[in-house]
Amino acid sequence: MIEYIDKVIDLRRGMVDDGNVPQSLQKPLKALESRGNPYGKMEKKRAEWTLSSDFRQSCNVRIADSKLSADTLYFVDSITSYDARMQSIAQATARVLDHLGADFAILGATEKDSGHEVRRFGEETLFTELRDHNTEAIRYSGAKRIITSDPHSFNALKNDYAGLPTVEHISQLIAREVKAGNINLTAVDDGSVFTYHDPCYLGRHNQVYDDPRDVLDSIPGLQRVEMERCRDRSFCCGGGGLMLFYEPRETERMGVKRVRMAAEAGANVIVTACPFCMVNIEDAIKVAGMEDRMTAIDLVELVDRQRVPRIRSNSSLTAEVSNVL
Amino acid sequence: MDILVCVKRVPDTSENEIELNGAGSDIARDDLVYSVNEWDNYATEEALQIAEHTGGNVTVVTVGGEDNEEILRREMALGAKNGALISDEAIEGSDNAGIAGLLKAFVQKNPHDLILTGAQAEDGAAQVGGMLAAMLDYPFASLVSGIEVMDGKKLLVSREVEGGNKEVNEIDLPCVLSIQTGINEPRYVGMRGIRQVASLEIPTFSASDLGVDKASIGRSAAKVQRTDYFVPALGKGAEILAGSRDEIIDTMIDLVKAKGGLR
Repeated sequence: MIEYIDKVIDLRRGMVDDGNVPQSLQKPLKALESRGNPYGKMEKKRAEWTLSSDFRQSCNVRIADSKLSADTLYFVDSITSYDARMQSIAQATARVLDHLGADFAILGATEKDSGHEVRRFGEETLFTELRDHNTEAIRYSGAKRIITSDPHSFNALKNDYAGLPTVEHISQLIAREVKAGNINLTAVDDGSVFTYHDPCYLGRHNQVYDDPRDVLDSIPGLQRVEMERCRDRSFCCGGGGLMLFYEPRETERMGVKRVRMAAEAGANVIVTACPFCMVNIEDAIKVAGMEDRMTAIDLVELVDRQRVPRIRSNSSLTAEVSNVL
Repeated sequence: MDILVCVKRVPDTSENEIELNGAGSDIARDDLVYSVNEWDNYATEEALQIAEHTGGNVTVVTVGGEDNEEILRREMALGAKNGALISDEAIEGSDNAGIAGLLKAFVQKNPHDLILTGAQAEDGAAQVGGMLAAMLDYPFASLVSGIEVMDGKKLLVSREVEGGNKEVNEIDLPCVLSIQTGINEPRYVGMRGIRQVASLEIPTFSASDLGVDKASIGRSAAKVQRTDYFVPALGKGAEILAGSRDEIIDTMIDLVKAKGGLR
């Protein structure tokens, strides 16, 4: 078996040292260096997604600082924090964590990009800076476990970082809690046919294939089909690395190929568990002209939509009510 | 050919929020990040490419305070051999002529055949390059988007004109050129490269080191003074057209015609 990814990364490291980096990537890399996110947006806006008035009514997200520590750290990472569409994944994740009674907080403005893409682009020195910064911030928060809704962050924190508490992807937590009966999901009965798209860094790189599927299968009445290329043979959406900032030359985008595969499998809803996948798949649906017969939703967004809300009272009463429902 | 590039440290404007400070005398700078002016970076890259061809060293010079060292180091990480900082309390409040005067004094003590500046600074007025050339009595070409080194101390410089055409001129050395963005594709400078130049020596020159009379720089000498800083009043928002795609197209064509955009 030839493992080629690390060889490509090594080549890229050499190219970065030579200054040979495509123009379109220089700006996000510089932004990562100066602002800790590829968009160059201000640090103080990283937690803005927690402040929208609608969201605040349903959920109060705390920021870990010198006065506040929490059991669980929700590591949001850059795209989910700053991208207007992906912020709804952050909000759904927060509501679900709240529903599960998790004592959680986010790092807020102190959080920097996990550096996952930076490392894979060969900018190793910048990666180590981001990693060291985040490691200190996470340790300082006192969190005993880390949850993330982004498989890239998941992969970085779990495999590239050292000395951190356990890291899980939100799908793993939800699967466990569904099996324990701590979250009840209402039925989907509008005839939609769902298919799950395995994100590369959740599936192939970390072998998390079943948890997201178990969550979907626990939703009463949900019809699910598998694409031919699934699990460890899943087909990349094309979004990994800083590819969101780099236009590769291709006749048909990978995302477009992927949504066609979903349609071929008989699905009209693609469920994914990665914000990069969401960007590419939603875009591909438009590019393929399939807006009338295909939509995409993130697993957490679906769970948030289908969950039976807890009534805010003492825990035993809440459990009773959920059982009745 | 030894080349001098004048560079400036500017606030990043794209995602920064530019607001007035409390006193209304300047923009609030606490939350800003700074970098080397984009045009100047293209100029440095161009200088490096020319020097790689002809032999010679590239020197980057800037006028400012201690904070400005970081952009000199960045351009040195790019490949510039030398950096020089012109720094003096008396510089505070200078207009662009004052800045150009300091650079002129630097050039006189450190002669260079070719001097590059960016065509403008992100927070600037596109003045220093031309003023510097005039003060030195050197020929000047602006908005340069291509440089070819000829024999016998001449350059061919090109400039974009309307219709995607190029205007090519011959210019004698020594000269000053102001460089347009897009002249080349600057190489990347990674964190590792920057660390490698972190401890290189960067000499600092005061006004008297350069033989510049303090009376000729600073706020009192400035012939152009800033009198006010304000945020313009917000106008009407954009009009978003509604309707089917065909309806929108029709409305758009009517609007464009009405405003004289279509004959």
